[in-house]
Amino acid sequence: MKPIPSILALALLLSPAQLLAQSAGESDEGEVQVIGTVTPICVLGEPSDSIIDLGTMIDLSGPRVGRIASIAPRTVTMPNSFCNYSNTMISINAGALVEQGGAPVNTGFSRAVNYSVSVTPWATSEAQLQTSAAADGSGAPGTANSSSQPLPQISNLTMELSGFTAPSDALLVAGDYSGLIVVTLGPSIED
Amino acid sequence: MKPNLISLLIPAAVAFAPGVALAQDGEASSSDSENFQVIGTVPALCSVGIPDNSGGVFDMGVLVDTTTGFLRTDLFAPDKTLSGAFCSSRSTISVEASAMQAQNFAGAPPSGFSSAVNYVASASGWTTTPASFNTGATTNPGATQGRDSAFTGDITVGVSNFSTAGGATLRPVADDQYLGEITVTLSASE
Amino acid sequence: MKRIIGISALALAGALASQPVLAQSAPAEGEVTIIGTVADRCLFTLPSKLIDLGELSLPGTDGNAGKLDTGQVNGASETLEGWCNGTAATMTVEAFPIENTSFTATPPSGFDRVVNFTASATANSVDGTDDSESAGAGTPVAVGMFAGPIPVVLSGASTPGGGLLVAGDYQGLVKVTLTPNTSFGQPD
Repeated sequence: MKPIPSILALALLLSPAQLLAQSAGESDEGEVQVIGTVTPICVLGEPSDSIIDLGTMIDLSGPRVGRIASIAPRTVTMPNSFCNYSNTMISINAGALVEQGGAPVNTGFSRAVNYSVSVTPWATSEAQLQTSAAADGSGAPGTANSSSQPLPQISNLTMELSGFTAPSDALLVAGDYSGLIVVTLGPSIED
Repeated sequence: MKPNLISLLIPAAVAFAPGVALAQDGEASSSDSENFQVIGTVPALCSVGIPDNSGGVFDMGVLVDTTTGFLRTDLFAPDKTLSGAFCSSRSTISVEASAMQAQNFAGAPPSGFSSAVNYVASASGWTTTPASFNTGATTNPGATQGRDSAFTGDITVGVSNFSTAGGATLRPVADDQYLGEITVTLSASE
Repeated sequence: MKRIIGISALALAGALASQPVLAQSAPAEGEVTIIGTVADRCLFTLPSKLIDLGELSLPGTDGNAGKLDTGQVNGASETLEGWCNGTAATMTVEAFPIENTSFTATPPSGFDRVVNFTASATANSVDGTDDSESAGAGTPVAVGMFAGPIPVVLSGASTPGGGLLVAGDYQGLVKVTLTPNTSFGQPD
């Protein structure tokens, strides 16, 4: 008699290694990160005029003949001026109108016309400058800054020139007068 | 005990316009500048100033020595002042004068008489050499004088050197109005 | 949740042994049945990418300078990779606005600090989209069984106010979620 092959029950328990934290049935996420940058810039709006022509600056008759006339203020606009970053300011550099002839000036005469110039609105304390040339035309151009504007800003800037005077209210030497104004919009200066 | 002095380095407040490179044409940068030119003109202009309140008349009074009938030799009138004359550029001053003419006497005076009185009018204070005009001279080169720079000052107009037209031996005709005119002109020359 | 994948064999207890041994002419047969499961699953094999849009604002000094350059955003794309092994897998997309991380205060009038856009991801030729303006993910779409690239594309860029962009660094995100069918083969 042959022995009966017995069938052995094999219960195999296989426990796979935990290769993945994720288990079947759970969602999986992918990410695309998006980055970019915006460069800090300031742009002054297109000026309504580049040349401010005061015309004839003296009274041609009357008690003030030969002396500076009452010249009405002049304005220039720079609409939609802006800075897209914080802590910016307006800076004005301006020189008096000076007659360019160069010959010495006699007592009682001036070859310089001083004025006040402002560029607003930008900050709490606005940029404003008074030129201060002497009668002989000497005196370096001055600079004035507004206070710091802490936020990005868009502004319709207006530059105003006013208060045209001659030193000591002197008679003005005949000739062509000119002065240069530079307006800058940019980062605030650290104090 | 000396207190410890701690010196803090405080950055100096530099007063200059932000020296950031100006934006190139069409490109924006962190600062932007615009230039403006302010221009004006002053024409060459002169004003002879304001006459003093002695009036515009040199009143010489009685012209003749009533005992001799000849022109007085001591004719005098104070100078007149034009205050605050000016020219805004280089200029010339010129004086023109006409002899004192008997206004109510027509025609040629009889022999031995004259109907005009000559004199010298001068304008001084403007130029180094006063401008002067002698009504009895044929030419008056000194009547126009120049300044080479803008000037302001008082012009003094004076009359002097009175003489009978035609000669000192003539007697002025009787007339209660002998009249001459003096013109002072300031001209700007650019 | 541990999942035991095992082979369970039928144990033939001693029932056979209790039967009388009979001399047989035909061989006796026994069976062992082997079963197993594969659960629904999705996986990103390339789960992370970066889109660098560069300068977001328009250059120059004219009237549009400083505003959003939509051309920088629209059409920008990167491709993830993944697979789902079940027929009922779904995908959702969630777009988060591109925001200024340097300037977080409320921008002054005339300025914006957020760029909104629409993100679309494509898996198995099926598109899922989402607008960054609307909170939460977009509508799930059925992608089914697939393995391959999942391109993500940006479009429809805009700013809330149409104004100037505040200077600074900007950051946004597109999240793509693949979800397998959860009704089959889940552990208890």
